[in-house]
This record gives sequence, C-alpha cells and structure tokens, in this order.
Amino acid sequence: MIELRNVTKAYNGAVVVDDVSLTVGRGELAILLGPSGCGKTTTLRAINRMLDIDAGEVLVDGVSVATRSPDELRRHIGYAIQSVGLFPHMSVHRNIATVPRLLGWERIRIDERVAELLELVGLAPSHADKKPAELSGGEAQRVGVARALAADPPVLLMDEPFGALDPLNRERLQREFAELHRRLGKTVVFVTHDIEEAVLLGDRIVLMRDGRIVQDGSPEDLWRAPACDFVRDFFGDEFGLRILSRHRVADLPLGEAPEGDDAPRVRLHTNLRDTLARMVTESTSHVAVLDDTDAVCGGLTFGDVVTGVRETR
Amino acid sequence: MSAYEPGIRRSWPAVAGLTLALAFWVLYEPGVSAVLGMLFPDADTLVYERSPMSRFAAEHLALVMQAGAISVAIGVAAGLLVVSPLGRPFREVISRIAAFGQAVPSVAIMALAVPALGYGSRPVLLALVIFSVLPVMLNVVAGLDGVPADVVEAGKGMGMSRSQRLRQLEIPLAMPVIMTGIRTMLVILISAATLGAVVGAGGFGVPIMSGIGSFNNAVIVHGAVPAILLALIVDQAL
Amino acid sequence: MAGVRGDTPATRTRPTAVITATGALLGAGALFAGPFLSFRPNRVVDGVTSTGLEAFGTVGWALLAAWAVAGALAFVEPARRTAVARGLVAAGALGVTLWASGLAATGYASAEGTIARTSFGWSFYVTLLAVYLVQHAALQDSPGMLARAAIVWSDVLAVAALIASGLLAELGIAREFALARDLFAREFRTHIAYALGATAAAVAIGVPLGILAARNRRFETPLMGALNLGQVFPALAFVGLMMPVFGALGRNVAPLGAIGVAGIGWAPVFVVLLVYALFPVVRNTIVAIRSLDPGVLDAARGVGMSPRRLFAEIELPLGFPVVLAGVRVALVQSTAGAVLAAFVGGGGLGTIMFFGLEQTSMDLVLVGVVPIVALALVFDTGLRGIERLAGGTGEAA
Repeated sequence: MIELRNVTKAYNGAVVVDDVSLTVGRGELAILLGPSGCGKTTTLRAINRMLDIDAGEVLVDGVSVATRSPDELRRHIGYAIQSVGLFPHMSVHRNIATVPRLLGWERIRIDERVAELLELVGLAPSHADKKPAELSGGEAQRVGVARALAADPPVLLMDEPFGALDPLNRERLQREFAELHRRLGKTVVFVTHDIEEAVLLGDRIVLMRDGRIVQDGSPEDLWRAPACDFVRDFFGDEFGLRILSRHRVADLPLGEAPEGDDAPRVRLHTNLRDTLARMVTESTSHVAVLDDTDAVCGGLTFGDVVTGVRETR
Repeated sequence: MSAYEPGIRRSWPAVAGLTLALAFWVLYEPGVSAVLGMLFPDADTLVYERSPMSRFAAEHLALVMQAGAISVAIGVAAGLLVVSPLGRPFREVISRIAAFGQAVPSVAIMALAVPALGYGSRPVLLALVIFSVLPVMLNVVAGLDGVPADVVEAGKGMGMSRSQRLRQLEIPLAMPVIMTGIRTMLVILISAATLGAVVGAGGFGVPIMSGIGSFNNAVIVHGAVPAILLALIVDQAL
Repeated sequence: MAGVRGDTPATRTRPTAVITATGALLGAGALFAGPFLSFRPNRVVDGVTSTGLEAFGTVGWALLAAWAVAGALAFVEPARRTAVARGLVAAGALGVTLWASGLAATGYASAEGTIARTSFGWSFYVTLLAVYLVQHAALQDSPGMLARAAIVWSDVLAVAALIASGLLAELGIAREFALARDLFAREFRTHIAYALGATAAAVAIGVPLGILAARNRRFETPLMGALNLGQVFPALAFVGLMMPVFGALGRNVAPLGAIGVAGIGWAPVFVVLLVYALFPVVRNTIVAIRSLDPGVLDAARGVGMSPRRLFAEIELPLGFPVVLAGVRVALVQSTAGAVLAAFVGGGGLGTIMFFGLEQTSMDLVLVGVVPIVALALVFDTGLRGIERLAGGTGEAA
C-alpha cells in the first residue's frame, strides 16, 4: 500500500531522514514513534508530498508519488494534524466537505457524506452549522478526523492528532479512533512521541532516532527483544506495564482457583494491568477468574501474570 | 507591534444621520445659508456663490472614487505580489519606499506633477494614488500574514492548489484587515482631495480656499462641513 | 530515482542579489530613457530635455559601466565580501551623476546667463531609487557596523562635498535656493517649530492621558473615540473649521489674542497638528502599558515595590520604546503636515512650495519640499536609533 524506499531528506546540510525504507500494508496502522527531531514527521510528510525528498522513492499503491501532482495526490490521502487547522471562516459542514468539494462531488452526495461522518466521529448533526470557534478542543479534533476521512481515502496520515488535548479527552479519542480503525480498515500512518498512545493504538511501532529506523515491530517485539539500549531506555521500565494493558486474562493459561469465597475476582476480559492493580490493592498474589456466566473458571497468580505475558502473542 | 483596535464601529443610525446631513448641506442651499447666517451674523457672503456645492461634491467624489479604484487595484496586486515567492525579495524594500513616500506632503507631489501632467485632476490623481496605495498594500500583507499557518497547511494537506488556498482560505480570512486598509485609504483620499484645489482639480477644497483667501469664515465652513461629513460617513460605514 | 521535484524549488536566487540587479538595471536604464535634465533659457519658457547619456557624454558611459559593475557584483558569492564595494559603487554613481549634472548646468548657464534653469527630470529620480535599492541590499549583506556606516556616510559625504565645492551651484534648485535664502531660513525655522512644537505638546498631553486611559477603560473609550474622530477629519477642512473658532478666541480672550491666537496664522494649524499627533502618542502609551507582562509586574509587586517605584523601574523602562515609536510617528506626520500652515498664512516651508507653484518654478517647489523630506528622514532615523538603544525594535509602530 505505502512503500518508502531509501528515503533521504536534508535541510541546510543536516540530514533529517536518512535512508529510511518502510512498507505499510493495506489496512495496517503503523505508528512512527520517536523523540522530537527524529525525523518522524518529515517521513510522514514525504508520503503526501508536503515536502519533497532528496533521494529515494515513495510509492502509494505501487505508483511513485513523484509522478503524481501534489494536489491531486493529497486529495486522495487523508491528513490530520495536531493543530487541526480547521478553516475558521467556514462552518463545520463546509470544513468537512472540503475535499469532496475539491473533487467536484454533487451537493446531495456531499450532504449525505457529512451527516454520515458526523455520526461516525460521534458528533450531533446540530454541529454541522457551527463555526470552529464554537467547538471545544475535542470536538474540533473530531471534525479534523472527519475532514480527513471525508472523501473516503484509502490512506490516512496523522501527525499527533490528539497531542493538543487534555488527558481525559485524549484517551477517549484514542480509544474511539482505535475502534474506528478496526471498523474502516484504512491504512494509517500515525506520528506520535507519546509512548502510551503508541502502545495503545499500534499493532506496529516504527521507532525512529536521528533520521533512521531503530526498530520496527509489534509493541511486544520491541519489549521482549529491544534492538539496542536506546529502545530499552526510550520505553523505560513502565513499558512492561503498558504491554500488560494490551492483554487480557483470557490470553493466559489459567491455573488453580484460590481457596475460599472471599478471594478477589477478575473477569476473562479484564486486562492484565488492571489484574495486577487488583492484586496490589487487595494485598494478594492470587485472584479468582470469572467466566461470562459469573462462575469461577480458574485462578491467576502474580507469577502467572508477570511471566505469562512474555509468552503471549 | 501595538495592535490597537479602537472601540465600536459601524453604527448604521450614525451613517444614516450623517448622510442626511451631507445631502442637506450639498443640495439645499437656502437652508445652509440660514444655518451659516446664525453662526456668522456679520459675514457679507454666507455661501460660496460662484458654483453650487453639488458640483464640488461631484468633483470630490469622482477624485476619491477614481483614485480609490486605482489604489485598490494596485495595492491588492502589490500586496499579493509581495507575499508571493516571486516578490518576496522585494517585500522589505517596497514597504520602506512606500513608508518614505508618506514623508512627502501630498500637495508637494501634486505641485511637482503639474509640469508633466498639467493643471487639473491628473496630478491630483497621481498624488492621491501614491498616498493611498500604501495602506491598502500594507493591510493586504498584514492580513495575509495573519492567516494562521496551520489553516493554510491543512488546506495544502487536503490538496488545495495554491490559487485555491489563496481564494478560499487566505483572502477570506484576511478580508477584515484588508477592509480596514480600504477604509483608511478612503479617509486619506477624502482629506488629500481637498488639497487638489491648489492645482485646479476642484472639490470641496475650492470653497474652503476661497473663504480663506477672502477672510470669510462662513464660506470656509460652507466648504469644510461637507468634506468632514463625507469622511465621517466613510469611517462609520466601512 | 532521486531528486523529486515539488512546489518549493531547492535553490533560489539570493533576495539581495535580485534587488541589487533590479537597482543596477534601473540605474543603467535611467541614463537611456526619459528626460534626465531639462534646460530652459529662463524659469517660465519651455526648454529642451536630454537623456543622461546625451547630457553627460563620456561620463555617462562611465556611469553605465559603474551600474554594470554593481549588477555583476550582485551575483558574486559570498555576498558579504562585495557588500561594501557595491554600496560604494552606488554612492560613487550618485556623486558622479550630481557632479556631471552640475557641470552640464554650468555649461548651459555660461551660454544663457544666470536666468537659465537646469532642472532634473524623472530619470534622475529613477537614479535615486536605483542608488537606494543597491545600497539597501548592500546594507543587508554587510558584515558589520563599520561596513554599514561606510555605505551610509559615503552618500552623505559625497553630496556634502559636492555642495560645498560649489560644483552644483548652477543647478536650478541651487539657484532658486540662493535667491530665496533669507525667506528659506525663516520658513525653515517656522516649519521645525510647528513639527517639534506640536509633537512636544502631544507628548506633554498625550502620555498622561494614555496612562490614565490604560488604567481606566471607561475613560479610554471616549478618549480614543474622540481622537480617532480627529484622525478622520480632512486636514484642510479641519483647519478651516478651526479658523472661526480661533478668530473668536483671539478677539474675545485678551491673553490669547496677545500671544497671536487668531483665525489666520499659527494657532489653527498648530491645534490641528496637535490633534493628529495625539493619536499615535496616546495609542502607543496605552499599548505600552497594556503589553507589560503581568508576570513581571506581579514579581515586582511581590518583592515589595511601591507603585511609584514600579512605574519608575519597571513600567517606564519597558514601555519607553513603544511610546517613543508613537512619538516618532507623530513627529514625522507633523513634519509633513506642517505644509498646511501655508494655506492659512501660517508660514513654514509650504509657503516656499506655494511660491514655486505660483511662479511655475518646480525648482523653487523643490526648495520647499526637499528639506521637508530630509527633516522627516532625519527625525525618523534619529528616533529609531534611540528606540533601538532603549531596547525597542525601531520597527513600525
């Protein structure tokens, strides 16, 4: 779907992206992660030709982007950025309709699409006539996502789209977006410097540093087998806890249930991080597991959790 | 620096009242005569008698509108040029030359243009345009500069071409600032056009200067009031 | 595949090179096209005009070469190495142009007598623009203070030396100046008195008003509304309206009449200039106070500064450059605006301008106009310098 071959970009002699090669498959959500200045945003912007590369090649659907006009290319790639960049003089409706308008859609089709998108991103139809200044930060960001999705582009580029939000709103939008991605199956390249966001959203993390890719794999791959000290240091000790939050009790082989009825209980779909938290709160190292019928179907010890997560897929 | 927005603008009742007052002053000479007679009981002549005020109003408006149209055309074009990649090298030097132009009194340009353009409205038009292009151009530039970068960036990211970004995003967002420039331009034009009488371009300056020449305060006021009313109308209406 | 093309070209011509080249082209072109000098047997009759090359002969070709050199140097890298050279070439071109014009005028005068007039045509003004463009670019490329000073002062010295040497004495503007010398001295002083007086009064009244308005919004709205209204009044009409008012004041209030307040003369013009000058002074004072960082003020109060010390040690030094920028705008505006006085018999350099217009002598008009522009430039440059010393930007107010 998206393929970068030996992409290199320099500004005033300083190499910002250095010989990066990367393939993102159809429907995949790839996170470009790294400290600021690592070249992740530059890499992203090379895909829709917001900037032009010095060497290498970018292919979308097997066609080199260099052969397409930048404007035409961008109309077929969704793009959402941290500052949103809603057009302040246009209504929400007109903002979302931007690309369909550029593509010359008919009015009825545009109106239907806007209504559909508002629902998709969780906004009431009454928001359509508002001006961006009347929206909260979270609402504006939802409109930004809707605008990026407007012409149903197969590819979506996102540059810290939730970075400017408060933690509560950010997490809610992140979860909604993960759900949206599962439903729509778009190919997404998502830039962030937030480790938590990367681990929460990404099935695939591309960690960058100084313009190069340091490691590319699932969060579990990066955790179990960091390619170098930088990877380990970048994620830090909390990485394990964050990985735990990606897995559920059901992912582990269950052991014996604890004796007695007053043992703390968790469910099959409880994530492992919450399970661990429960043990700490109840000062126990052994919890009972309930199935969907509220019957005890096994137990889990502290040891099961911390060693088991290493083997989960 | 020092962005200062003076209070409330655009009061339509005020505009309507001022327009009525101007119409009265320009069209109904007996009434004006009566008013001036009350103010200046000793004056031997109360109004400028050689031509009707409507003629000066027409001349004045013609000067302002012609110069304004030329200035808007040049000022907007120059502003767009100066912010375009092609004209960017000239941006600072053009603003400096334009600012320098403001240090030259407008009458001086009228006077100096007489040998080349003759007496009448042409030297005045030249001077008016030179003086009023700057606020238009500066406000076009300031307005376009004030457009948030992320908005333009987002437009670019969605595949708007340069001209689409300019027409759909940058110009509409810059419009309030550009309109301020056009209002300033018109106020400057109305003021400078009163000086055009010096080189025979007519306008409200003719009765004012005639009154000054004959030490007749009533005639001065007869010419000064409509010029002030016109400037106030423009200032309130735009 | 390498080197993807896009909407931003990878290399771009250096802006100062473009400006220098434009200046050099204008300078060269001005020698070929249009009237550079006009020769008339006396003030009134039409004369003959000639281009720079016709009037200057061999010197004209030397000037052409100088402009070619400036244009060629534009593209030599690094730019900073050639900056001073380009600035001096332009200053030289200015000096040689004036000198050659002076020679041509002397030649013509020796044939036609002292009532003959040699005047500049518009190509001369294009040459001035060309000099400015080349030097502007050179100043931007200049490596240091010394280089910049060399470029700026080379112009001043060249012009001053030429005037002092008497080589320009037969040019029309110099002849008219010599004839109007006494009148000029008087009107020049009057003009400066209007500009400085109105500005000083505006500062004396406007700064306190601005401080009050900045602290009290209920006072600010009517004050700025009134001042804004004053800005809108057309100058001549405003003066005209003031004339009967001051006439009445002068007649009825004896002390005012004694200091020369009357409908005709200085009073109405002074007051109109003052009203115009108040606006930038008051506006910038308000902005200066409002734009102070609340954190800084809080910290100052936190360490126990009294309101008086707060004003003296924090508000005044931080706000001074902004206020000064307003004063600069007021002064430049008043300098140009003082020509109004000539309309109502109030004197000033505008009077000379009007004499020139009445006598259809553009050289005499210039004798009035050139010092106004020069004064405005000197005031502007000087105050910008002080602003920068005081920590301001020296940029637009």
